[in-house]
Amino acid sequence: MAARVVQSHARPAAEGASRDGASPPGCHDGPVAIAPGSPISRRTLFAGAGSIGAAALLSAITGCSYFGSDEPPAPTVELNPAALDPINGLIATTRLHLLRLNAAIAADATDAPRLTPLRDNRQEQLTALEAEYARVNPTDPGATAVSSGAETLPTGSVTLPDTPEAIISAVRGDAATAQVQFTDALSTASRYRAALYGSIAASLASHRAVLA
Amino acid sequence: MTTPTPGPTPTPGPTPSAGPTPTAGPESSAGPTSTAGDTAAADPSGGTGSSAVQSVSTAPTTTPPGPLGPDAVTALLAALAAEQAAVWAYGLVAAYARDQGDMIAQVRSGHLLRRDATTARLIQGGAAAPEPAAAYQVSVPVTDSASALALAQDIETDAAAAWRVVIGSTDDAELRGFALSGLSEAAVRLAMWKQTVGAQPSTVAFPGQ
Repeated sequence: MAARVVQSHARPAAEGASRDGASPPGCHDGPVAIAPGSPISRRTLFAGAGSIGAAALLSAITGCSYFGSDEPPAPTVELNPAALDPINGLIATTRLHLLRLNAAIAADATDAPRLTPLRDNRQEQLTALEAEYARVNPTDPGATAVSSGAETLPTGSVTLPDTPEAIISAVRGDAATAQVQFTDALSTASRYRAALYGSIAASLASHRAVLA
Repeated sequence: MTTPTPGPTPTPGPTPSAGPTPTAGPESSAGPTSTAGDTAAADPSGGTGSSAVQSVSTAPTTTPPGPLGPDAVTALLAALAAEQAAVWAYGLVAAYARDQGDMIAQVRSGHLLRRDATTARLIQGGAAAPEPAAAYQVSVPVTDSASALALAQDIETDAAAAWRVVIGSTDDAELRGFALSGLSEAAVRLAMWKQTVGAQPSTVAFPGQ
């Protein structure tokens, strides 16, 4: 908008300068020379300078310029397909639950023999999920370690309840949470992933039955 | 166990080596006219006594089942054959593992519901559902309780493998949910049988694989 105003304001000076000496009706500036060495009238000079100043002022105020447009600038967002892969949430959940299972085995020696096979299952599932991520996202540098066959062990510390009963209950709750997640992910996944997710969800159902 | 083991193999007619051949009971006449599909889909625990599977693996039933693709029909037919064989084979298991009678009855009832639900789903999808065979040849000779419970594990392993294939053969979310119920039930039953015989580990990371 502002750019159009500036253009219309600046046009008379340019038109006046392009008439090859012919004075417009009602104009008392006399001939405007465009030939080299020809004199320029003071009014024309002031009009041109004023137009340029007004254009610069409006441009500074409105953010518009002669070279811009009225359209808002297009956002430049770089999409990262790897970050949008929905398997990432499942991998994160499995990592967390693996951590909690490790902590539960360390904290509850009585139930450790019962929990250790479940932990091994979850580790196998995590490895399979990471391998699937690496297969679909081969350019992701974070997936190269997995695709090379290296087993990733989650690290960190988690807090568990104090009593063995509460620990088992927490682990069972983790299995239920993960089962829901994998079940929800089933409907929109590819066929290969759907079979993988379904198998893991069924395994988690058996975990809950074993811990019941 | 990550690979399906050969379980009951359907045969077109009676087989002399299959041990006690069950007579056709009331459940054998359910066939294509059964309409118990919705019941089993809404009760995925299948009588196993595990409410864990029931609460989260119920198939979404917001839309009626649509026509089945050729891949889904093939996979569902295999799953139906596995369920039909399971119903028959648990009769054999019950004859030898008498101390597990209650549990076997519950499990067999679950397979019965699942079989009828699968039949109904095939018919709703425009496919034909074959009748169960008169008898099946089992993979291992059943002579005592231990071999009978080993057969029970084979049955569940086969059922899990069949339902996993169904999940991977369709893009239909409803059918995937239905198959997931069957897969989860089989995984839970397999873990139960392994616990019963004291096998370790009692769970597997990828049931049906």
